[in-house]
Amino acid sequence: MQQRDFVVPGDPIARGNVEISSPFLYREKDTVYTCVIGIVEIKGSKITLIPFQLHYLPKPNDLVIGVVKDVGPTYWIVDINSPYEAQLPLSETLFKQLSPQETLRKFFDTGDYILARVLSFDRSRVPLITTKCKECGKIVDGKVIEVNPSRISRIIGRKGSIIDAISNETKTKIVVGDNARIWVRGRDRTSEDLAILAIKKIEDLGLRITSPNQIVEFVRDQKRLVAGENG
Amino acid sequence: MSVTPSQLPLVPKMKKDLILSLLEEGRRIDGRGPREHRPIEIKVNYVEKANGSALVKLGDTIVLSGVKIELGIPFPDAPSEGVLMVNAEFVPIASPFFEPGPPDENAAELARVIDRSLRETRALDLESLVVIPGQKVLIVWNDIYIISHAGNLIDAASIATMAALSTTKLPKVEVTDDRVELIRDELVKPLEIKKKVVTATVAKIGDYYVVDPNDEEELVADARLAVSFESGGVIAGIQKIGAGALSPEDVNAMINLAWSAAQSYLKKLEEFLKEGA
Amino acid sequence: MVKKRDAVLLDEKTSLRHDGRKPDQMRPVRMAVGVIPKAQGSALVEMGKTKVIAAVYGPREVLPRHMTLPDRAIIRLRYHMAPFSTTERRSPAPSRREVELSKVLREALEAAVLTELYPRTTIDVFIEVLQADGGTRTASLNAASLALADAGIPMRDLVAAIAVGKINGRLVLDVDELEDSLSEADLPVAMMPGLNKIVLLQLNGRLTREEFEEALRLATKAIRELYLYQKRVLREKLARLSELEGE
Repeated sequence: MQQRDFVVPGDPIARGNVEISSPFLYREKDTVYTCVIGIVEIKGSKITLIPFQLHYLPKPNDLVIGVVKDVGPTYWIVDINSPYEAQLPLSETLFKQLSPQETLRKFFDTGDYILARVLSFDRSRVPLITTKCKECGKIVDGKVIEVNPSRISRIIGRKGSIIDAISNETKTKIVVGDNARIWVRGRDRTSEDLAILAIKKIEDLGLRITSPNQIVEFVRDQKRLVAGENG
Repeated sequence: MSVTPSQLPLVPKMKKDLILSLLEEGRRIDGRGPREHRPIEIKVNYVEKANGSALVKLGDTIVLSGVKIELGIPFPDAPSEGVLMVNAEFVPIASPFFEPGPPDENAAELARVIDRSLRETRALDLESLVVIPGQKVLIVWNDIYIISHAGNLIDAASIATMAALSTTKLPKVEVTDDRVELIRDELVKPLEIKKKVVTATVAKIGDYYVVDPNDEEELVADARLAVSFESGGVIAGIQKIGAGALSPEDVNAMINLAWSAAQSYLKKLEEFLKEGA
Repeated sequence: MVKKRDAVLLDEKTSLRHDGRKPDQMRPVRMAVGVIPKAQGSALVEMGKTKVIAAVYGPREVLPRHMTLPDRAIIRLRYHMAPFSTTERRSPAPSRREVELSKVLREALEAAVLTELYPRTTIDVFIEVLQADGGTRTASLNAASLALADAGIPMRDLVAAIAVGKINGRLVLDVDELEDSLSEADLPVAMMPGLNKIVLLQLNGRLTREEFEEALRLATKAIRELYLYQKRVLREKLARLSELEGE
């Protein structure tokens, strides 16, 4: 097994006493196998597995971008791009209880995007989210896109270097949800589209971006193209 | 019994607004213009064991139309005609929103829209399918299988069905004193198609009309109009789809747009069938 | 039923089958993943003229809630044949055979999928046979296994499958429809080859103990070949998406 290799389910990764840090690696007798397709990196006795496809499982304190799917009497049901739907109780928002004639739709309606944080999730219960957090609440402008969850860390870059580079270069505000949804806000649609193009590029070339400069170059090239068309 | 759908996929409000504001500038979310349909790919004889078949891709929508010829008895009111049966299956592989089960109202509607367009134009020469008048005829089974649902299943299905029927080969029929037998392995002649018919769908979103709606456009549309045309431009069927309302001006404008799309579909079919021949 | 009365199923002298194959030779195989854009994972498998497409949706929550399990995901599998897939047009309504095969295939995959990682959800596996020429259940498993991997559903191992038949007293690999209609035995086998575990095993017909051992040996060898093919298809997809050709 090389330092870095493509793996598919059932591939033996390593033998003996190695550290397993992923739920997608399992040990049978003396050998460690992978259960999903992806890329494996071995550094010494530590194995890291980057699954090609990931299903987002909520963790407490995760920042998530959700879509309201249904409205109940005292809570909302929210799609958070996960196998599990989340619940947002009225008590976890800054809204006051309503008079009997009003419904919760007044605050968040079906089809609304909201920014929220995960309160709790254990697999026997429904994930609970809250909008009692900084900048949380209804999203009313900009664009929201979905990306492959296994690419999120690449898109963010080391200490946010990649996403900051895109944000600065396109003059947009970008919020990356832990649930693989990204909210982009610019002063016009063109700058938003440019930022989204750059993000999608990283999604594709996830494994080749080594420095933020590469993506800055890409954005500048695109700007030149657009200017050329209009000039 | 038909019930208002309550489990429909949700299009976020911001997406809906985006679709509308783009339309104000004459653009659509996938970059197309309002009159543009998605790229079309046609592959005939995809199921070699069937008498005819065609796999059609309309963007990400994929539809497979299969034709099987069997022996059967004619309808009592049409003893000197073969039988055409059109069926559609919205199988669960095609969409996260399709559940296993018998055809739902959307599948039934699609099958009947395609069926009517073929029947009213008499596109198939049903009289040539008679074996013993009043007793034995050939049945043309057309099964429309949705493989991937990315919107506008009707148009893709109509192109696939036309392509499949146009390349269908009939098996030999042996009539002896005591029995009639279908010799499946011997294909003797093509199924005669007298006319080419296609169906083109236009969706009304706000004040705008778009041709070949994708799945998101379909969900936000007020209503759709599926119009079937013969190659000469004669209208061979109309179906308004969806719970919204259309004005007479809307209908007129949508029929015009549908015709321009239909012409493009017909041209694509013709090019393709000529190549194959 | 197809009965070519004058077809020679197995030539006495050359041991070649009606389509020219040797007894231990499989039909040409083609596999592809990601063929249905809207599915989480999907695969198309062709073995000779048999053509099967599988799609995976999930893990996802499903109603009614009472159907789910508190500690793992359930699998819903539907094996279904298109009306135009067989020699005679068949009704799209599920037959008893399709119901039995759905169960047997689900159980085979259930042995491989790590369902404990997604409690209270369902993993939906839908299989459609587009053209049937023998070996539809084994082709279905090959496709379903690829579709699950394509969808990122964790599995202990891929599942590969093949059927062994007996014609004129001789064991043959990968029986097609014509051979199946006139064979003395049909033994479909599916395994998790890397773990050397059998997940599907059925016999229709009669075999001596020795014949059974030999048939299993034949099947295992073919299954390992199919397994390598499946892995290659998945690796190619990874390579395409990572633009790391040749690494």
